[in-house]
Amino acid sequence: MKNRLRELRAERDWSQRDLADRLGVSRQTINAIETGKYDPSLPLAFKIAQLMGRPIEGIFTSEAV
Amino acid sequence: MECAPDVGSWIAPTAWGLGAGLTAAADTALFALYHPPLPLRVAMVVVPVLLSLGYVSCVVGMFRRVDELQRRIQLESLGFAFPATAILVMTVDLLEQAKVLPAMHWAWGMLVGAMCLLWCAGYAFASRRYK
Repeated sequence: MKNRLRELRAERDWSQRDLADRLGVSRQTINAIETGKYDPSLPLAFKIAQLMGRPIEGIFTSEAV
Repeated sequence: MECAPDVGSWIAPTAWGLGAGLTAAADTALFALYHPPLPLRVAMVVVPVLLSLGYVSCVVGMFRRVDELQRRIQLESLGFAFPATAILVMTVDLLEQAKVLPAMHWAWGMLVGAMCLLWCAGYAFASRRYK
């Protein structure tokens, strides 16, 4: 799954640590999501979408599409 | 919610685990030396079992507090350690039966030690995958 998390985080001038703290996860988790090594659970994806003010499909896209 | 288990969060489970291991080892040594009365023998067996349950409770609680990636990493490391320990024990046993290795009479302490080492190795490998 591809995502625009790094780009959206950069727009807000947040570090990985800032975003991790806002989401209640580790910095390693943010890094793993941004590099595509880990796909977040649905609750975490919803949390990210809510924080970024965008729908989930505006942040995460399937590579198969 | 804790994001990742820090060094401090390992203190309690390590203390419970060490307590269980040491009391069990002491029991083994004492049982070899003398034959205490039945109630005392039962009590001596119950103590390390209770300490082991404390260890399990601490570790499960810690897994519940960490974030989802850490839980995934722990699942992968345990998923590696469990079958790897079984394969190791089977291999050593077969090598002993084939008289390639001298009989080592694996005690529970060696088994637990191997499992812990393989869990740590599995954690190191799984953790690296997500860096």
